[in-house]
Amino acid sequence: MIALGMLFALVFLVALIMHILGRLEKARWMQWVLIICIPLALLASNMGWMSAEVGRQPWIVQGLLRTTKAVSPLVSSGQIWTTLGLFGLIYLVLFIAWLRIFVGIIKKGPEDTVEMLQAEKSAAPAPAGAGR
Amino acid sequence: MTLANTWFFLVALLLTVYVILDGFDLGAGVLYPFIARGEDQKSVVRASIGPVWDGNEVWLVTGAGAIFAAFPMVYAMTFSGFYLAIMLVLFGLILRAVSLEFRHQDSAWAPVWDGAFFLGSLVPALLVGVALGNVIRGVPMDTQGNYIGSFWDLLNPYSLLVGVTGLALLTQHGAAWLSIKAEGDLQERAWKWRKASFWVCAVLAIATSVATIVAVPRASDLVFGRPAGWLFLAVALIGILYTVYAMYMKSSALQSFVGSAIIIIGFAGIAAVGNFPDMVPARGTPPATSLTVERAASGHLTLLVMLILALVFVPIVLLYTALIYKTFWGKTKAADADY
Repeated sequence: MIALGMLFALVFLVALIMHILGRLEKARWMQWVLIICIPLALLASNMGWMSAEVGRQPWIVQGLLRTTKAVSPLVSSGQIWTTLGLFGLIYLVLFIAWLRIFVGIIKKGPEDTVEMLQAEKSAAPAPAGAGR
Repeated sequence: MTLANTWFFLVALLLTVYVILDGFDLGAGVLYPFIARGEDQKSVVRASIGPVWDGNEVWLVTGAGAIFAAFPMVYAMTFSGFYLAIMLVLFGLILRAVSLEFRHQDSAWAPVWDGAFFLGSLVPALLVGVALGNVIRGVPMDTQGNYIGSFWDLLNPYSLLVGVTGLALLTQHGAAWLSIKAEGDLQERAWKWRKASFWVCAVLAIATSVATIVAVPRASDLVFGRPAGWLFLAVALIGILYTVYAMYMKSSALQSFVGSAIIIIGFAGIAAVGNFPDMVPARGTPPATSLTVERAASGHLTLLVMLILALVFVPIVLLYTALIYKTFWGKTKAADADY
């Protein structure tokens, strides 16, 4: 996680310098590096959670409460497995949906965004009280 | 009034505000497949709640958070004891939130998101009432305040009746909201649903009242035996009369919405008076196992610090909430859906 964070800072710096020098648009290798950084950022944030949650064991509240003592006596492992499975299912569906929408937006390309911004600008001075 | 009693009142207040605010957007989601025809009307329904639904849900988080900090035993008992039911509410709210965010980005999956929006509204709208029914009726607990029933025990006839009544209450509340925000054909249909669902709710509320007197006399005796009980009965009655007046004499959607909010305050007050000083009464186990306000409350310092924080931040939240509603006041157009 820490290494990835350092890497992001470095990549950002290199990209910034290249942008200032006007060379970022032509350097395809650097654009690939930036794209690869997208999933790496998700990985880093998850690894951060893991090191916080796993690193704290056997405590659930450091120095105060042990995880074994914090377990609810009411919720059976069957219930935990059921909801864990449902969480997995929901996140899987959401991941697929997100991926489709994400890829769709990328495939549309940046032209649409420019048009959208222009459309918004021309729509902005609409008369007050137009329904909002 | 002790500090613990003050927090009982504040928790009841937070949850009542939650039902009034999130109630109408849950109700709008329940009505969504029945009254919105065509893409434009569907986007009007979604856009009418678009800027406010997530802010409204914050009151549930605040209410649950206040229970967690002020009454940890109640939090532990209900969230662990009602685990599967609460997880179902959570899954519903997740699907609903995502469907509102993704729907207009993703026309290919429109039926999926429409379905998720409907189910994600229906499940919480129903289960919140079922949970309230169980809290009024009481649940079996051991001496440490652990729930000792099963998931299926929560689905008893009385609690299911309260759940269906709550669903009807939120549906008529949502129909009133849509009658305010919609125009034309959609507005007419919303107004028809607003009247019909009000009478369904009224019949169910009478059934719930009778069922409470028969099945949970502890609660009804407390309501009839206390001035506060009569006060909230009067509030509920005023809300009902005002709603009928708004619907049939004034044909005012806004006034019928206010009437419905008054009804919710009345019903919530009746439920709170019927439970106090219990937060979760025992049923089938000795009365000493009941979670009372005093037994479940946190320490004095915790409650005091929480009270000071609440007095500072709740007015700020109320202020920006009012500002949001003012900003988005008026009719919703289909073009607003991009928000």
